This record gives sequence, structure tokens and C-alpha cells, in this order.
Amino acid sequence: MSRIPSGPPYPHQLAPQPPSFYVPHPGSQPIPSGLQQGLPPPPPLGGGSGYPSDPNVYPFERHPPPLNNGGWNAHGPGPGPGPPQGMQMEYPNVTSSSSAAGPSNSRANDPYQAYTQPMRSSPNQPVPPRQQPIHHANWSSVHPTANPPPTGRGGVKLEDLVSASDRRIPPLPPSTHIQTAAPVSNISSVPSSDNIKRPATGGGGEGSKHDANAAGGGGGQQGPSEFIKKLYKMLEDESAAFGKGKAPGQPRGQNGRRGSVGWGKGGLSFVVWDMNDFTTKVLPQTFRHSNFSSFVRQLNKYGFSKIKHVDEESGTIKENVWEFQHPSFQAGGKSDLENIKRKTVAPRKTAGGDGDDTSPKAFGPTGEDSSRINVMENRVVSLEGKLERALDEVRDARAREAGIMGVLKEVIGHIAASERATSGSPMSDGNYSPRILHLFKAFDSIIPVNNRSAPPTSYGGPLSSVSYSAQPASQTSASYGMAPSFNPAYINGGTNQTSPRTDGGASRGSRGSISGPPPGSAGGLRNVSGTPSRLGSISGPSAGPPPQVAVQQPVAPVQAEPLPKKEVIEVPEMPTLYSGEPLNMTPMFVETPAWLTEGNQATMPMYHRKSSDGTTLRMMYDVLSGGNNPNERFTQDGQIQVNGNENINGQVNGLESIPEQEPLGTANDNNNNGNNNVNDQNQNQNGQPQLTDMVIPPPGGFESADLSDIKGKSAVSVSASSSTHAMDTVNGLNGNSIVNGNGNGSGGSVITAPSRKRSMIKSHWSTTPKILVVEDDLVYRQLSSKFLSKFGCVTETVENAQGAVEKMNKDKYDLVLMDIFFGPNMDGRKATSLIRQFDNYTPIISMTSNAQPQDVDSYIRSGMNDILAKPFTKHGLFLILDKHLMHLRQAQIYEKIIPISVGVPPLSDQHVQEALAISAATLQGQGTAGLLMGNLNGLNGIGESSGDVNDGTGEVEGENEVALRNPLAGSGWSDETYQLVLQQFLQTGVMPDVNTLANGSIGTGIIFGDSSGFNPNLNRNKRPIDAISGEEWDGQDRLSGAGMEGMNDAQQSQAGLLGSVPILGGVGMGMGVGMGMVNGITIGFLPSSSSSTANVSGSNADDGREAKRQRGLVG
Amino acid sequence: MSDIKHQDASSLSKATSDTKPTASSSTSPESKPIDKKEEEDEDPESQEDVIDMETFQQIMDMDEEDDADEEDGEKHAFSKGIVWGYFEQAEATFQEMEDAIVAKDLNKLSSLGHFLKGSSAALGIIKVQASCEKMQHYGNKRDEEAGISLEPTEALKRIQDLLTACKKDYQVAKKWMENLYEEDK
Repeated sequence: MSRIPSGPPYPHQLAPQPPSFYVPHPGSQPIPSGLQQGLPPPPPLGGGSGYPSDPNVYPFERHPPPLNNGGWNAHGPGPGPGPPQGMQMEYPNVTSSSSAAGPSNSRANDPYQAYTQPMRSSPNQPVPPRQQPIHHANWSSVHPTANPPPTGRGGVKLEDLVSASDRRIPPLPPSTHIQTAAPVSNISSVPSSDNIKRPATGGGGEGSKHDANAAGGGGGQQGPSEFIKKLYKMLEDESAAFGKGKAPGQPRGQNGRRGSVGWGKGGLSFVVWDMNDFTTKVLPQTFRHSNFSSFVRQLNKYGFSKIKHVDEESGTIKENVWEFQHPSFQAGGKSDLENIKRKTVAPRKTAGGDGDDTSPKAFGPTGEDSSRINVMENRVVSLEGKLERALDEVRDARAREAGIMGVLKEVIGHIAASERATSGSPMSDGNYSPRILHLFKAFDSIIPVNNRSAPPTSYGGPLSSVSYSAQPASQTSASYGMAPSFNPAYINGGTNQTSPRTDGGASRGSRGSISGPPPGSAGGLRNVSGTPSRLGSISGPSAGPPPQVAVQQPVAPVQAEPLPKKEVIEVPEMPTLYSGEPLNMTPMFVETPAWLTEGNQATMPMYHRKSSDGTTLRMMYDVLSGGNNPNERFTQDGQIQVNGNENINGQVNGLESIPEQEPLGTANDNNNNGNNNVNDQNQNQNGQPQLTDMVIPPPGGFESADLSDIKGKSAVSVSASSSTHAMDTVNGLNGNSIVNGNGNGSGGSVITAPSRKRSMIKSHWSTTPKILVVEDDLVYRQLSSKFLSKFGCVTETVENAQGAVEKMNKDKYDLVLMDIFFGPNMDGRKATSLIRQFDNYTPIISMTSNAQPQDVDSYIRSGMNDILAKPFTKHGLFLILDKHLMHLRQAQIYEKIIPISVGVPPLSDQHVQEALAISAATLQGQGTAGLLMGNLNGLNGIGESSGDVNDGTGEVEGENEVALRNPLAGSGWSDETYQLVLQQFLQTGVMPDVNTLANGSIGTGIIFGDSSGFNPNLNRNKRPIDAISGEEWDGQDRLSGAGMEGMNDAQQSQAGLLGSVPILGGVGMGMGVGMGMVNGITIGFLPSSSSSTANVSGSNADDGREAKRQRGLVG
Repeated sequence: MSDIKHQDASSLSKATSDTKPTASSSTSPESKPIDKKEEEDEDPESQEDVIDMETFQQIMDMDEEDDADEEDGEKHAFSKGIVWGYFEQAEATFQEMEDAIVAKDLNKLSSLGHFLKGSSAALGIIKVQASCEKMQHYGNKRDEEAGISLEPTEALKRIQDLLTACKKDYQVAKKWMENLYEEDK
């Protein structure tokens, strides 16, 4: 009341409008106006913008008026006919706030009431509501200064208010808010104050408020302090937004949900329901800071008291809810706000001009300070956010760099391997596959980076055009798709990973179906699917696939190059190899496209292996991640190659544009060489493609699947991606390598960890393995089922041996995990012996805690293939699966391949036997590995030779050399150093490789040894059958071998960083590049060591070469 | 003598069976040796002795992986399911052991010991695992530690004591795990 009378307090109006207005109308005293004028300064406190117009400063008061105005307008001709709507629009905040008080009022002229409530004190000024409009008019007319008559004022005020205090809350349709929330309250409040109050509000009302404000402002307090106004506005906005605020009395319960803050029961207090939400979301908007304690301190300064919040529903006291109360701070009682003053000033609850005078001083400064602090805090927050983003970018960039470095190194290693191959014997061929693997890894790693950036598209485009053009239409399309897809692929990588895996599983499923996807059918399907998928990939996943393609191509080129260079002899072999490689390449491409569609499957298998490895996998992942980057780079290179030099440039550019640009640059040189080779290969592939398509498709499918998996993995974690790469390599030579590349790329780009796991598991198998778990222990049933599902297997469980025998009779399983003791009737041994009477093929693994030698002996004699001691670990289970399903997988692959190219009988049993034998005698295993490697090498050599045939060989060689040089330079290696490295590679070359391979396999264990042994056998067999198919197989075998080795290495290296290095070495070995390859890789890594993974590998590499060799020797 | 022993055994078994229901580490009159029989609330240290975290963590890790894959799933749905399944299975096995003791079926006890040993080992509940392994051997009338053969009555008696101690350890493990999942919720 006093305020109103005091009139002077119109500070708000005064500021915007000359106090004179008020003075006349309310008859408020000119002095106040003066005060008001003085007040303006305070505004700064509220919100800079608001100040210009007093309304901001006194948003609360203003708001009411505006509302009034609006309402008035609506009602009567008054100030602005249009205004009503405009008012609402403009004053959403106001309206909202007012709405709380009495939105409906505006419509019914009641709006004032809400505001009026405060006004109550100002009944003195009672003016008929209708009069209010008049007042407005009067104001406008009277005070031209206030150009925009009352409405204008109102508008200004509202806007200011909105901008200043309520910006955060978008204009709420006043009508709705008002209607919903305010009406009731309004009604209640209106009746009492409408008539009387309105008048006041209309003219005097504002005046009164302003007066109060003025008083405050004059005093320095700004009428209601900025803080209080903001607080009030905030509450009104919240209430309007959530419908709780409603009129003061309305139970918030209506809407059920409430905001983080709102009016308390009856509007006599306000409640912070959710401190966290309030602090993080509401406070910053209103007070530009997110310090709840600061907020509470402010409240304390203004005389608010915290009261125990009693839950309306339960009636219980809630501890976590903050409820604050101030006698003058009530919903709809805006006028009272003026009474709330800082304690320091001597809080005056009643608007007292005198008190205001005193308080104002103190207020002004504090308000400004607080506002400034808020601004600063906001800036800090924003800067922090920027900093985080920048750091993230830096990390990404570093990761990319590391990957690039790794790729370059790998390229070098590959080149070296190629050289060895050329110069050396077929053994070098073994290196070849490793090279491919490395390339793939590099691709993978690079790809992620690329993926991040858009480059992939560019890559895809150029690459696809060039290489693809050379290649068959399908391939081209695929390649194209890949190029485009790169980015997509990455993206897809994440999404695809799961689905792709499934798809891949389906494709591989042939495996699962084992018989199902016969080589021929698989080939056909793969080809078909592969190409289609490629196409599909082109559009979407293109990014992913292209990298793979590129990678594959690069690899092939590299190999081809070396061969040509080294020896013509190899060339002859090369043709076949080439065909195989090209085929692989093409398949890869196909697969890559498939990735998008089918790619997931491929990735799946890879992941599986990785997942199985567990810690070793992690190590592998790390390494791989490092490797992946390189692979990605390679892929880029490869893409470039595909494109041709031109393409390369484009791709390179794209790549370079990405974080890894520099590495790419170096890599580019190499890449270019490789690219050229690739192109050549591509051409070869084109020529071969048809043939290759036949065989390749399957591998490609796998590879693509792997890649997709990789992507998924990569998304999960870089390390994972790397591991996936390894897996890929393991899976199929060409296909794997390609897959790796893709996977790496996708992985790099994706970076999402979750996908990795899935992808890994899925990627591990070409076909979803079907496992029968015979176990009477619920815990083990659950545990093994869980693990197996993690590994991407389909699991059936049986509780007893009889059930197992029955199931084995009905269905076909890829593997049986059988407990030994089932109770009285039959134990696992007996069940196994029974099963062996009709099924001598399916691996039966005994799960038992009785793993004494004599027990084991009895198990084996009963026909069991292996033993998984309880309690087994996830890793242990995976190893067993990998060991025995690798055979299946290989057998499946054989089946597929065989049908297509040549029929090769699955040797599952033999594999098992071999595995056992190998486990028994590591030497033998090594020997076999060596043989395998040799075979692989021979295959590689063949592939290279084929490359030569393509025309690219000569060029490739030259390019390779260049590339080699460049890589060294890029990594910081001098030419001499590079040559030394190459020499070492060559020297250690075949034998070291073999040893290392053998060692790796042996070291890992029977499983590895077995796998290696099998692979060699397979390779051997295959070779005879078909050069092409053989090559592919070899490649696959090699890959698998490499993968196995890698796994072994990883496992061995699990212990630590060193371990990671070994992994790399293992990968390299697996690649077939051999020690030389590994060394080269490690060297490359060393330079790249800057990146985390790269560093590890690099550090390892330092000691690495020798260490690896030693290991190999030791092994 | 044999009769007397037999009675003792049966009484013991009864006592153990009585205690079973609680499943907690109730101190059965006969629980001989082992440590504090009834301290269900063993101190954390003893709990750590009971659980091999490395093994159990492996299972918990599976949860995390699940979480990564399925955000909406219960946080520890998998490991909790396994642990709860183990509880059921273990308690059922304890009951079978009680019955087997009553029936003096050493072979059965050995089998049961083996059975529970396996699942306990899978979860890293090493104390229960160790007890079950002993029981397995006792059921075979062997004391592997001493390398001697046991008389059936002696074996049975040892098994009874073992069962009591085993239950106690089991309770500790159960409580620990329950707390673990309680906290994680």
C-alpha cells in the first residue's frame, strides 16, 4: 500500500518512461520519479539489456502492468487493441508470470488482480479496471515520452523482462498459461483486488509498484531487487511451464509432474524439488550461474528462510526438497517483492520509501557484482565446454596421427616383406599375407580417422572410380560404394556392427550351417551378396567398404610389387597368387560393400576372436588400434592406389585433411606406390575378378563381415578395432586383410566401445557356432551360455548326459561342452563314447574340475577332443572355442572354397589331431607353421606374380621402393635406416617369420598350435587344388594363422606393453610378412609411438625387432 | 561302536539339517572345528577370504559388457541371475548333503561335493569350493591332505563338520553378495 501511494517508486516506468508519467497519473510525486531515474542504474544488476528499459529492472512490477495493459487492451480500446495478443506474445514471460498470478485476469481484466494482490496495499489508487485502460491511454497520451503508450510500455517492459530475466523461458502462450494455471487463482485473487487493485495497477498500480521499486531503486535496491525479480520470474515461468505454479493456492499435484522449482503450497513459499536439476538447468538460465549454495546464500541475504518441506501427498517431511519462505514473497504478490531487501541493508518487507532509500545503495553494487559474476561464470562454463571440445579434437587428432604413423610403418614393413618375397624364396610369400594383414590393420586404424573426417567420401569417389573402373562393374560399384561409404561405413560401423554381424553370421552362417553355405553356394551367395552389399555399401556404408577395398588393394599391390621386383620366379606364382589376391581383393571389395549390408557378419567373427582373447584381446586391440590406424592409412593409401595416382591424391588429400594427413602424406608416397600397385592389382583383379569372384566372394563376405565387426569394435575402442583387424587377418588372407582395413577404418571413425564387443564376438565366426552345453550345474549353464553368447554362439543346454546324446542324435552342433559328472547313470565320458558311435566329427570338450592327468587321459580316451578345466574363464572358453571352431570355420571355408574352386575335404578331426600333436610337440607345430608360412609365402609370391601379370608389378615395385623410402622419411627414418630395416626383414625373413609364427602358435598353446598346423595343412591342400583358391585359402589360413599368432602373441604379451608389442609382432607374423614384416611394422610404430598404441608398439618395436626374433627363435 | 557312531552321525546330521533352514552360519552343535561358526556377519576380511574377487569380477565384467550393449537392462542382471541361481542350487545341494549324510551315502556326498565345488569355483566362492572339495574326497573315503584313507564313519563325521563349516562360509559369501547387489542397486 504504502508503495503505491508513495508512487515515486515507479522506477520501472521512470526508467523507460519519464517519471513524469507516473507522477501525473498516480499523482505520484515527482521526486520519486527522480528517484526512479536514479534507479535506472541498478538495472545493470538485473540484466544489462533490461536496464535500458526500466521494466527489466523491475520486471515483476512491470510485468504486471504489461499484463494489465494487455488485458486492458483486450478488454478495452485502451492502449493497444492489438497489444493484447501482441502483449501476450511479447510478454510471454510476463504473461506466464502474470498468468500464475492471474493470467485469466488479462482476459477478464482480472490479470491485474494477480498483480493487484500486491497492489492490495495500493487500494488507495483504486481505479476501475476499465479505467486502467484509460490510464494506459492516458499515460500514453499524457506522456508522449513514453512513446509506445501503455501498451508500448508494456511491450517494452515485457520484452525487457523477458529478455533480461525470462529469456530462458520461451514465450508461453499467455492465454494457455493463464487459463490453465492462473484462472483459479486469479479468480480468487481477482475478486478481492480487481476493482481496487486494478486501478492501482493500471495507473497508480504501476505507479505504486514502481514507487516501491523506485523506493528500492532510489535506495539502490531497485524496487524489488534484481535477484528477487529474477527469482519471482523464474518461479512464474516454471509454474507456467509446468502448470504447477498456478495460482498461489493451487496444488501443484494437478499435473503430477513438477519442474525442478516452483511455488510451494499456497504460493506462500517456493520449493526446489530437484536441486540438481534446478542447479544445472534453471539457475543458469535465470541467474547465469549454477551454484546452488550461492543461490541459497542470496536467499538468506534477502531474508528468506528455509522451511521444512512437507510433501503434500504424504504429509511427510522431505529432506531433499528445499523450500524457502519469505513473508513478502508470494505467488501473485508481486508488489510485495519490493519489500524483500537484502539483510545488509536491513531487509524491509514493507515497501518503505525510507527503507528503500537506504537499501538501494547497498543493492546497486551487489546486484551489479552478482550479475557480473554470473556473466563471468557463464563465460567460464562456455569456455570449459570449448576446452573440452578442443581437447577431444586434439585426442582424436593424436589418435589419427598415431594411426597414420602406424600405417606408414606397416607399409614399410609390407614393402620390406614384399622385397623379401621377391628376393627370397616362397617363404617370403608367407610374409605377404602378413603384409596384407598389416595393411589391413593400418587401414583399419586409418579408416577410423578418416571416418571421423569426411575424407572417406573423397577417397571413395576417386578410388572407386579408378580402381573400380578397372575392376568389374560390381567391384567398381563396390569400390565406389566403399569410397563413399567410408564415412558412412564408419557410421554404419557402429550401427551395422550388430546387424552386420548378424548378417555376417548369416553369410558365415554357412559355417554355422556349416554344410549350408557350401563353397560353391557360398561363393555364389557371397558374390551375389557381396556385390549387392557392396553396392549397398556404396550408397551407405561405402565409406567402410572403400577403405577395405583400398586396403586390400594396397596390400595386394604391395605384395605384387615386391615379387616383381625381387624375382621373376615369383611372378609365375604370382599369377595364381595374384588371381587369388585380386580375387581376395575383389571379394574384399565385395565384402566391404557387403559390410554395409553384410559387413557386419564379417566383423562379427573378428570380434569374436578378440573378445575371446580377453586381456590378450585387449592388448591386441591396443596394438591393433595402433595397427588399425595404420591400416586405415593404408586403406587410404590403398584407396588412393585404387584411384590411381590421381585418386590417391584425392584420397590422400581427404585423408590428410583428416587428422592423419601428415602421416598420410608420407604414407601417401608409400601409398601411392602401393596405390599404383593396388591399381594394378585392381586391374588384375578386374581381370581376375571373375575368377576371384568365384572364390573370393566367400572370403570377401567374411572379410566384409570382419570389417563391419571391426567397425563396431573400433567404435567401441580403438584397441578393439585393432584386435578385430587381427581377427580379420586371421579369418581370411585377402578377405581378412580387407576386412581389417575396413574394420579399422570404421573402428577408428566410430570409436564407440560397445560396438566392439558385439562386433568382436560376432565377427569371430563366419557362421554362428551352435554349441551344446551339457552341464548339470546351473551356474555353469548360465555362465557358459553367457560367455558363448558373448562369443556370438548359439547355445543349447542340456542337464544330463542322456539328453546330450539325444540332442546329438537330433541336431548338429559345432561343438559340445560337456561336463563329466552328471550323476549316477551316465557321465560325460560315457556320453561321449556313445556320441562317438554316431558322431565322430563334432568336437566334444570336457568341462571338468577334475583335470588330473589321469582324468584327462580318460576323457580323451572316451572320445573327447579337449578339456576345459573348471572353473574356466571367459578367455579360456574363448580359446577353446577358437581352437576348435577355427577348425570348423576353416572346414567350412574349405567346404565353401572347395566346392567353388576345388573340393577340399574338411579336416576337423585331423585338425584336432594335429592340434593335439602340435600341443604335444611345439617343434612340430613350428615346423608346420613354417611349412604353412612357406606355403603362404608361396601363395603370396603367386599373388604377387599375378600382380605383375596385371602390369602393375613393374610399376608396383618401383612404387614400392618409393613408398618404402617415403614411409621411412615420414616416420623419420633415414633411407639407410630404412634399408637396414628392410635388410633385417629380408634376413630374418622367412625363417624368422616361420619361427615367430610357430613360436606364437606354440606359445599360445595347443589351440594356436593346432590352428597353425591346420592352416598349413589347409594351405597345402588348397594350393594343390587351385592356385587361386589355394591362394585365397592360404591367405585365409595365413590370416588365421596370423590371427592365431597374434592372439598368441597378444596373450603372451598381455602382461604389459611388451606384450602389446608381441601382439603386433604376432600380427605381423600372421600377416605372413614374417619377422621382417613385424620388424618393419614395429619400426613404423616406433616413429608413430607418439600415439598411445603406436607408442606402446613403438617402444616395443625398439626392443621389438630383436625381441620378436628372439621370441620367434625361442619359440 | 559302529552303532554309536552311526547315531552320532545321524544326530549330527540332524543338527546340521536343523541348522540348514537358516542356511546361515548357524553353529550347529557339531560344527567342529572351523573358525567361528556362526558369524554370518563376518568381518570384511573374512569375506574377502571367502570370495575370490578375480573370479567373481569376471562375471561382474559380463554385466558391464551387457550394460554397454543394453543400457536399459538391469545393471547386474546377468551376474545377479547367476549368483541367485547359485544360491538356490547351493542351498538345495546342502539339503541333499544333509539327506545324504543321514543316508550315509558317501558316494552321493562326494558327488554333491564335486557338484557344489564346481559352481562355487565358478563364482569364486573359494571357501565353499575348498570345503566341497574336501567333501568330495571324504566321500571317497580319502583324506587327500593326509594322504590316507578314511573309515566310512570317520569320513561321514568329517563331512558333517565340513558341511557345517561350509554352510557358514556360504552364508558369509551370500551375505556379501547380497550386500554387493544391494549397494549396486
